[in-house]
Amino acid sequence: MTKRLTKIVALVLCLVMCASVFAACGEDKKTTTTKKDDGPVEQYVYKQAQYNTTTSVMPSNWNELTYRDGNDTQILSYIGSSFFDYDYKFENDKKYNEDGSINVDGIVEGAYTTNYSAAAKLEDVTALVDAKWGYTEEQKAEGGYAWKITLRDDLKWHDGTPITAEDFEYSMMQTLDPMFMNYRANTYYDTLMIKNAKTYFYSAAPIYSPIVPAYGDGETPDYSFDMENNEVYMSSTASDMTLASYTLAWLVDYWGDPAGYDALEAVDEASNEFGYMLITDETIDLAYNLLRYALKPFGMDLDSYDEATQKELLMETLYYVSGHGEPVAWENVGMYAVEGENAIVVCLDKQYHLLNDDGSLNYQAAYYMSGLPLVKEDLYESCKIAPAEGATLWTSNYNSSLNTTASWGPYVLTEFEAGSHFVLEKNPNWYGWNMDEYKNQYNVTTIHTRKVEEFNTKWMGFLAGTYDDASLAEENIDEYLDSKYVHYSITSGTYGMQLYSNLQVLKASGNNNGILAIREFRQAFNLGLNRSAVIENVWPGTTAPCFGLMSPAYYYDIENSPTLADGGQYRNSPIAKAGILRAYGYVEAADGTWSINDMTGLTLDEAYETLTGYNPTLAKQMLNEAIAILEADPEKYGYDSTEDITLVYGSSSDTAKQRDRAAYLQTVLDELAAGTKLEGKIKIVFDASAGSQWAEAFRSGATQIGFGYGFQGNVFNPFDIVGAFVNPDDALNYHMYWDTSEIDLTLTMPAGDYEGAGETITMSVQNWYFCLNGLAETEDQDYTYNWDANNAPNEARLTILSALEELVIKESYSIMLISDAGGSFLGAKFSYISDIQNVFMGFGGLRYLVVNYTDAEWTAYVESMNGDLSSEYKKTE
Amino acid sequence: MDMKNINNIPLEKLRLANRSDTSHDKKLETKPLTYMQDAFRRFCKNKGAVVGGIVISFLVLFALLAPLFTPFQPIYNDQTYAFAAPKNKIFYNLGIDFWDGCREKEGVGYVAYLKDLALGLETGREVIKDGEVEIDENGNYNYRYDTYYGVGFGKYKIISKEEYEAIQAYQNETGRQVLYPIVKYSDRPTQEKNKYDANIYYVTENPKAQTIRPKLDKDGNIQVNYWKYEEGEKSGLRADYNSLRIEGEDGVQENGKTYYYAYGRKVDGGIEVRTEYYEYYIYQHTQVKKDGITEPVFWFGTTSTGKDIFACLSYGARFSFVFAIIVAVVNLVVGVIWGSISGYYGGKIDLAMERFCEILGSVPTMIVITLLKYHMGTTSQVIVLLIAFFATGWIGMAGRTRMQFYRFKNQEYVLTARTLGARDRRIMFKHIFPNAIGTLVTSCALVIPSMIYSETSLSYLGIINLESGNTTSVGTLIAAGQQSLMKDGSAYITFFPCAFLVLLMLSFNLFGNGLRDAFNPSLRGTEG
Amino acid sequence: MYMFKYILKRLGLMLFTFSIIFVMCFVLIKLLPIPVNVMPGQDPLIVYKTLEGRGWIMNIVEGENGVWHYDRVPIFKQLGIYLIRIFRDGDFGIATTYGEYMNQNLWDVFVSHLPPTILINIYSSLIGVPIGIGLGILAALKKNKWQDQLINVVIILLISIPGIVLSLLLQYFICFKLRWFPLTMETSNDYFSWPVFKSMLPAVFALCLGSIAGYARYTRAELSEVLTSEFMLLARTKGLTKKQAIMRHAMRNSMVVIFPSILGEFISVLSGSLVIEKMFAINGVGGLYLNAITFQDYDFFMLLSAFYTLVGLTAGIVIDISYGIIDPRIRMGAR
Repeated sequence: MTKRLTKIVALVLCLVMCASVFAACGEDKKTTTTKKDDGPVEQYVYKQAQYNTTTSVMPSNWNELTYRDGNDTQILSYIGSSFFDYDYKFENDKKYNEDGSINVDGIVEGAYTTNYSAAAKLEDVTALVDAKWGYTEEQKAEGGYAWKITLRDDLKWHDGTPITAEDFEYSMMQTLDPMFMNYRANTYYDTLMIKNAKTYFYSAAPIYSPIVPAYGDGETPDYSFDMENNEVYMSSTASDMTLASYTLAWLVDYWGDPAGYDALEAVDEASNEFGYMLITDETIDLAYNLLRYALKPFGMDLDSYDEATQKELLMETLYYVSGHGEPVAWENVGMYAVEGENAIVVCLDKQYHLLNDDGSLNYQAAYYMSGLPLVKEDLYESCKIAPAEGATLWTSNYNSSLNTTASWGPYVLTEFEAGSHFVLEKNPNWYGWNMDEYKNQYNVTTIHTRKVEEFNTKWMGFLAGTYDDASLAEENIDEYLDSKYVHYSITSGTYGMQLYSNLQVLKASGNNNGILAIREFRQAFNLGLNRSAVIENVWPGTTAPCFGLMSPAYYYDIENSPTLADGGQYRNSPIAKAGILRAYGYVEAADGTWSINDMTGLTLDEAYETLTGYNPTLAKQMLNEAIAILEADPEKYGYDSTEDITLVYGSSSDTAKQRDRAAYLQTVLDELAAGTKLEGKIKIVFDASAGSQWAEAFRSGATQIGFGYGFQGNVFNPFDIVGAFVNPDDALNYHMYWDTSEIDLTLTMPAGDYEGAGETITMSVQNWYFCLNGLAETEDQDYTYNWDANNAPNEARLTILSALEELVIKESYSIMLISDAGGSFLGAKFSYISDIQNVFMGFGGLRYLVVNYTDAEWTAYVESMNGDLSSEYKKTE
Repeated sequence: MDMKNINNIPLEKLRLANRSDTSHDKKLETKPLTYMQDAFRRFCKNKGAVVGGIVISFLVLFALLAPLFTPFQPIYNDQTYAFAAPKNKIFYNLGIDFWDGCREKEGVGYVAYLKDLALGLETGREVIKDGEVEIDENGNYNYRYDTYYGVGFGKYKIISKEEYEAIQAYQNETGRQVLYPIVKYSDRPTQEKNKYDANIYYVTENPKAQTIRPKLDKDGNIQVNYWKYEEGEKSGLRADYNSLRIEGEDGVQENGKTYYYAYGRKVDGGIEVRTEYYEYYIYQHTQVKKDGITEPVFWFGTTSTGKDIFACLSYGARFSFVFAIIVAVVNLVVGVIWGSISGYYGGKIDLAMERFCEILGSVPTMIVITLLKYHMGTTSQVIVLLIAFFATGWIGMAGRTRMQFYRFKNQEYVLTARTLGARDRRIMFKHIFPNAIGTLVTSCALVIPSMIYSETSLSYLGIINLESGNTTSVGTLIAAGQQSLMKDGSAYITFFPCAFLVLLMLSFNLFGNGLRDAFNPSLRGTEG
Repeated sequence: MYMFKYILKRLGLMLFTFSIIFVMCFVLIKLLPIPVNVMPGQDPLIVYKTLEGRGWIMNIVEGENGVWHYDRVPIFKQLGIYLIRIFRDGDFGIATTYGEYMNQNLWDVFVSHLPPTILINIYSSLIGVPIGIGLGILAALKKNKWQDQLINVVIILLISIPGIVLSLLLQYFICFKLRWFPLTMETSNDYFSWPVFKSMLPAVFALCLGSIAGYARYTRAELSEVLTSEFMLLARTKGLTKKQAIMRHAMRNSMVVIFPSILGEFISVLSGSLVIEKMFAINGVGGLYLNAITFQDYDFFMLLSAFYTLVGLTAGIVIDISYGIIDPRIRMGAR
């Protein structure tokens, strides 16, 4: 080969590669059109500017039906609107001054109003809806189950096409489409509880029932089922067959004949995704073959019977499709558009209190009914992706790129490049511009978000004025802790430690840690944790100790919080404080004074101030009690005193921080066990192999210590979130094995005019929880009191909640240690409308953001500080 | 050609020789030099290589002996002393502004400056070094800040009654003030994050506010906010205290009455106190833990999680050396043998071996690591890393050796050796291999630094974590340091491990080059 | 002719190796635990039904205490389905668990991320290679003199300080302090306009430091060895000037090692440096491979590993051939 040829070969190779690449990006579909901003003319009082921010993870699908996490809501919260929303409360409702500017000094601190936005009217139509929804007379009288929302008639998509009630019905039908398994579907059948939504959503799954009805001994079995022209199935995993109450797989496995396994394999291979094999001419011998081995454990030999008996025996193992999960037609789902009116009716299984007695909107309207899913029909249909080979799942890339996005909110997506950046600009067709309520707000013309993963680059960008916000982190907290540009906000998150204590699983695990099942040991561990040391070693920075299950951010009565002495905050209520004190060993004397150790005669508040949850003397005492119980019956706890006790510390990732935490817990246990029989015998082992399945590993008992697992959310309903601790069926509960339906709790209800007032009632803990949330009836409990928000006074509900909290703390399965507070920077270009954190409005958000410098002024200002604003951002006044 | 006029060879030099005197080589005066001796002699000539060797031995000594000079270990961490600047007692006592545990604070806001000032006033420590403060043009403060005393009191601490008594006894005995007066619970700021901050001992303008601002009295001084009680006044909540008092034995006179400060507040689990962290640290380590640490002095400063860098660097260096040497040896042995066989024999064998290398080489090590971590959950990451490096490390070496063998196997002297009947193994390792030794040594010399290099990027990307108990590595230190490189005055966290790595690379390179030139037979006699 | 036959054989073998690697990658990633992340307050059945709908698991059974049991669809059955999808429909699938590109076509995502990585690598090679070789020659010629030592020390400094620290310092000084360049790469897509090119330069400088150091070291090592060989002596005695001797003979010989690495660098143009792209917010392919594995997005991982393996294997062949071209005495694979 001549030299020249070889050169060409090398050259061609790399040319081909580069060419293919440029060609690909040449016909790049993306067209970056920048829309001109021709918003409705408004009296220009406020400056307008662009807001530049960064994100470390780009949103990928801001589709209301499937969005996954906080990253996706970066776009979602700006391109959609809600029926109702919150606003500040202004003194004598004067929101605007004469020159149209917002009356900032008139803002009433801690107060809020609930207003109409996309909806024009809200009516309670429980008594008026069709009888098919099955509301009882009593429910019709109480009301709150069915609601009619009349929409504004100027709702439009960003391209001008009008939005009507039919669009909302179409969108709900898509949300509950069984073939898509949309990630957010459960919001509408678990939280909002729309009638028949769940059965419609899961109606695709067939229900199999045996073809030979079950018969007791002595009765003659009925083999009349017509196998010829009905589809019949055999299943190796179903256990409700008539022949025996075992699965065929179990029987084969029990007998252990290798040929049996082959037969089982053959049947499984031919089974459908629900594990059922259709009986056809080819598969009939597979069925008989498997039956032969399934009968062996009973000492029966299939071949010894005649043809007819063999057929009967086979029929006793077969099934037919008796239905499709009560096939539900869309008409039966409790959500429809009213003909002739631009309104939606929603029929629910759960009662809501959305309207006050005077007909005005209650805060719950904007909290629970703020919006229903809405997708643009033509665009949504075009984004449906059929299942690929071998899959049955439909997917959609609606709202996942520039061309597939439709907006009916204040902003519209004008630029989007995956992995790089996105731009939102004001949406001229938003209905809000013609509403007086949104005048002179949304002064941010464009939101430009750039993907920057490296913290240092983001931080330099903030100091250089390129970005307008940044997060307070370990690297900058020392210099900027007191900066006037940092805003602190408490979150509803509480974090702590979970101790797995299901005795059977512990005994089987071979870690010799049956002691975890003893309450005294868990309490000793709880009291041995010094929260101030935990904060110093594990969570330095802006965290604070927390003794109860709920953080200070929870409100038991948000509605009239400004008027209540304790501000409606659960943690400040005297009943909650008393419950916590009792949980940590304080004793209440007859005269209402409290005492612990050598301190006596303390008032409630004085006692609460001395609470730290750390009591080493009491902890050691508890540990010795636990050891006594353990040694009294080692067999029951599978305890071998010659062996060490191993507690497996479960973590989602293997990082230095996680390992330091495990090491810290080891020092706590060593201190606790010092001077007792278990000195130096309790060992913590670190295990991060479960990775993202850390929750499953803990729930199955593979790991026993879950450190840093926490709870948050549902800030206005602590009565509901306590279910995560006391209700075994709650998806958030880590300790479902703790069967609270078996544990009794006796409480004396405070006086008042409500069901059961003044009585001393004893019922199961789970029953108390369901009564507290008005679900006793639907969950058919022994006692069906209804003490939800509208049927019982605060005092009664707080007594129950605090009793439940006290019980959970005493059981010490979940030991809550800290409540979280975070800080973040807002650059000098903008400032919030008010510095005090409002319950609903936060600091005013983007809606009320005040622009200090226009883009041009800002560039000039940054230039004047020659590109380094660090000294400005360190300013404290 | 006339014999006489051969220019510049003088005639008298020539003497007529006759057939009988045979000329023999003169007896060698110099001693016979074996190959090794000659290599060593030439190695010593190369000044750079010798310097490299010395630096390497110094680094190895540092890795081995350093732990003897410091009581700290990698497992030790103390979050309160995170980001403590490097400090050396000698430099500190001399008052030089270098290595004295302080860092420059520029453009500090008024409130932050006031807080540092207030701390110094109460404890009498030089939180602001020599009190020198310079105010820049837009009203911000610049001063040299002591990171050890600047920590102040940290958070309010709960200690058991016994420890409360023990500290008082220690104070009486040593005269060192550990406990300071506390602020009454109801007088403290109300925000959750400020309620437990023990540095706030002064009256604040607005206790409810997020950021705390000291409220100065009319002539601009900090107003103390301690919990005062009259002499003899009994209180169920105040712990008795009879030890050193900063207000003096006879208390504070205020409009005629004598008041004392409270030093401890009774709580359910013991006593809540306010301790100056510097003194409490000394008490804790000398009286309670007795682990040889007498004073918080970190020569190379501490990391963002409060680990002593000097100890971490020595343990890390030791780990990195051992780890790299093991990997280097395995890679060398397996790689060279594999490479020489496939390089020398060529043909079908080479194709098959090459394909095996390609397959093994393209196994995504990332997945292998994740799979190993999944199955070996509890064992430490080191074994996982070893397996990952062994699986594919030697392929590079094999490739280089194969290349060299192809280069030399058709050279003349190899062909002559074969014709003289040398067996394959002899040709491979006697003739071809010494020539290849040059490039192999160079690449082998760089295995240790490049091992640290890959450790760094693997821990930066979060794929592995070598830090558990006392094991840590230089790479992990650099990755952790990089996160806080931008923090004012904490460049030292990355400086020391990087300096170590640079010294290592420099010395290994010089040493490697020197070694290669020494072992290269063809370079004999041509030293520069 | 020998070379032609050798290339054909190598191509045949390449397909064989590629298919083994392909199957091995598929099995390996399928062995990892299936990514089931149920968010708090979310119905677990939806998550398992979605996985079932994707054809990964079957027989979902809810055990007690909130622990679900399911069987994995046999891996080789999934492989069969995957191969049908690729060869019959030519559909490389959509991203399933990789959050940022959920439900987007994988081939488009990958191709749209290639240009920035390729451009940055090409610019850095264009700068790095010539400077590197130049420094190498200078160091070799002035062996053990002060220039050699100086270059050596500078090279070591560049290599030894890890990339994450070096590029951060570079970014801090030339982008933040001196403000010559913007901190991150411009977001517009016309890569040849001045602002975008200027915003790419910091990343290019950070990247080429590595290649400058590498080439300088290799060239110095090779050249210094070759300079001492006999044929150089012969060339000089034949009267060639120093420059001619070096250029025509010495360089040719030391290219045996250098040229393949230049070629290798060309191939590695396609795999971006993760650290540099993370630091300068470049929308390249650097992070895709690692994230595809961390999120266990099977289709994305298979597409990427197939692409990179193919490129790697072809590079292997091209480099082997280049040995033959540079040094005729070498017959790769000869007996």
